[in-house]
Amino acid sequence: MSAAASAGSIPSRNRTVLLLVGGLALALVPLAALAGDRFWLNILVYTYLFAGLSVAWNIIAGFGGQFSFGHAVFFGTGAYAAAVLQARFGWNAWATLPVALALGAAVGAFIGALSFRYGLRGSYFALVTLAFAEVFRILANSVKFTGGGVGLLIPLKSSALDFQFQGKAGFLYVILVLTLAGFLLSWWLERSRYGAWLTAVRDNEDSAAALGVDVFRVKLQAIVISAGLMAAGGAFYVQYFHYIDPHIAYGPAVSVEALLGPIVGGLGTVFGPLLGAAALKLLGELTRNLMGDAPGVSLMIYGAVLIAMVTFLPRGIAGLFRRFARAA
Amino acid sequence: MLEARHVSISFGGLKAVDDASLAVPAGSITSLIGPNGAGKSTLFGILSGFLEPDAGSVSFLGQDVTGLAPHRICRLGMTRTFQLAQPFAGQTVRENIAVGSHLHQAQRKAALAHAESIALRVGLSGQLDKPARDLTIAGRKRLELARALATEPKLLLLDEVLAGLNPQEVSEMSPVIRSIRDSGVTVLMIEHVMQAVMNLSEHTGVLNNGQLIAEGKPADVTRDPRVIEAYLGRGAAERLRTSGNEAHA
Amino acid sequence: MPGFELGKELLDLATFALLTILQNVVLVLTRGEGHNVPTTVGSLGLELGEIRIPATRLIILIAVTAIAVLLHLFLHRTLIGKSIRAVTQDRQAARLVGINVERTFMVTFGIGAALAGLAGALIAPIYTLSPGIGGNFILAAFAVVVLGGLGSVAGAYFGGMIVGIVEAFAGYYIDPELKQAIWFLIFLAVLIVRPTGLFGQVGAEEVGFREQS
Repeated sequence: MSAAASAGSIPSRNRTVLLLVGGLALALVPLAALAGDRFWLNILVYTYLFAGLSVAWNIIAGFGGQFSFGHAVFFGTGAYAAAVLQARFGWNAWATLPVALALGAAVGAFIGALSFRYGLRGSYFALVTLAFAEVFRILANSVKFTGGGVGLLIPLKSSALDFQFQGKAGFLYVILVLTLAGFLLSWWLERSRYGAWLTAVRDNEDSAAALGVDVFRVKLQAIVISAGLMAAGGAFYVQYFHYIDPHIAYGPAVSVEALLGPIVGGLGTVFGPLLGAAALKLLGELTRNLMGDAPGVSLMIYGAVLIAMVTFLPRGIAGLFRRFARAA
Repeated sequence: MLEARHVSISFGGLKAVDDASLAVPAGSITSLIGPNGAGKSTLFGILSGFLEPDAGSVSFLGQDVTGLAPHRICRLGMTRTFQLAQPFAGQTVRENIAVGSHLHQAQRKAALAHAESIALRVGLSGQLDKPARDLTIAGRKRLELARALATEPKLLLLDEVLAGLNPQEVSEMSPVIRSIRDSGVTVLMIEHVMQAVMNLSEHTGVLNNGQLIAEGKPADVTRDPRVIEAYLGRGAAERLRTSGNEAHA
Repeated sequence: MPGFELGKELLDLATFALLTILQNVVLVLTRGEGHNVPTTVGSLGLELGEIRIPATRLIILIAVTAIAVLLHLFLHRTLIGKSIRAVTQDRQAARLVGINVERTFMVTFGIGAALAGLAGALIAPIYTLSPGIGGNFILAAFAVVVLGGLGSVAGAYFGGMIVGIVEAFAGYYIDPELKQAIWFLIFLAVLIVRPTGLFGQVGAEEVGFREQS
């Protein structure tokens, strides 16, 4: 790997391993589709969605250094945008996707502008995002427009033109494309000037400013991108599950999942969020087999995983690769 | 090239910079000296846009830059380093410098290559792939310098870039600074290392208690009784004179 | 470029993780059912003219006032308390004078957690308990801390009073659900206008290292 191209990223030996793993994952896609096995399809869809959310959070937190505990606020906005437009205004489902994305990005711009303009960092920023998510949840719960606590159901259609697929396989392709887009974005970020600026801001804002980086703008762009991706995930969720309510949309589950993927897999790396999401999904399935489907079990496990990661593996799984590479 | 006019700033009740006016001639190495707490870094902060003065103005290349954001001032051609070296700890030396290079290089490859050439100039070639946090003090100082240099400034503000270096390291860095000036960059440096101040700079300003108390050639300024007293206390100039010794500030 | 290693975010994440774990452990154990805590003083109260203040709430007022006073004394009169304040103001300097910073963090966090637990116990007779009950107080807690100011016991006490009174009146005129939004607005407004709050002093870590020259 020439030093000039991507200094410091995963060494070539491990790169091949990852490519193999990635290839394997992709190979599973048509297999699952062909088999028509609902179970595996569901798992894959969920895993890719999880991965997409993780990729989104990683952009603002892993690359940008701004940890958000309320990332669900963007997811939920996208979800509700898609749901409301379909349920109340009869929009075509595909058309709601860009609107959801734009609306999520707008909320991202709003929260970002507010937070960064006033220099909110670290714990403050995390708490502000958490607070926003809570407030949105409360609002969605109280307002009839969003269906209140009961939530919204989107009308059941059966045509691909309406973003609903008979065999559900279509959903897999869609989420694959969405997540791949996010992944490619991260890939580009790692190798671009913008990425250099963003990580510089993460590592030391004052130094970055002294070197000509527009700190506010860079952070704002990152959160807008991250928010847009989350919102797209939210819109997809609505299509797949046909239903959304305030707790799902803005509750802690999505926020925790979004941050757990990168932390487990490796913050600020391109493959980290994917590795983390896959590992966690695996863990989730194992525990479901062992402990049943009671509400709260998965989050309980996630919390424990988070503490374990934070204590023993602050660099995540990707960090392990790096450690072995260096030792070898 | 750079002119600060009647600049003042206060923090709470303390007037950190008090009606200071300084002119930096283009193409020179100018030094800013003074006892600790005199307000030198604060003045740097004002010049580079990190602090907004309560009064006075700063003009760079004829343009008023008072209160402009730091990144804007950097883009206009004035780059500063920090007294307490603040590298991007987790990134390599090459990547650190590249952030500076990116000011003018849009492509990643070009920036990384540019970073390599800058590293060569300041003597960091051997450490390009080292994580910045593994550098020694001397290395970090060089990195501060390299990053700032990578932005291709017209005016370089060096904040105690020689502090914490042993005499060997100082004598290694001095020619680097001189070569920077020779390549067309004006240098304004805060320094305590008098050897460097006398050897490198042609022009010196002395700050004490926020006020500029002397300005001129280093040899003249260091003999100025007011300057001696600022460093050694009141009456020191008189005592030194009567005891017949030359003051080495 | 290499990945990013967790540094100061560790504590935030760990706390958040702990919240998630505990909340969901309770959820799993109780299956989401609410619980009520019976209390022997439930029927007692203080009569002030036309107003009747239930004993449970009086106990809270007295207990919290006592705690606030004790905490203030603890922080200002005992060695451990002063160590805590020292670490907040300048971590390096605290280390230099021989304070075990890591242990101080642990103690501080422990005290904070204990106080939160105590608050929970005091509130138990009044609210119906459910796993998600903590969430009702998140926004209020943010508002109080930010309004009162970091690092000040008086700030937390009076900030809490202010928020509580505002909430009570707001709840009378506005939909109780939207009351939460009020706390949030207070929180946001104070963060923007006066980040140090009414009584607070910003720690050295927030302000950043001031160079000397």
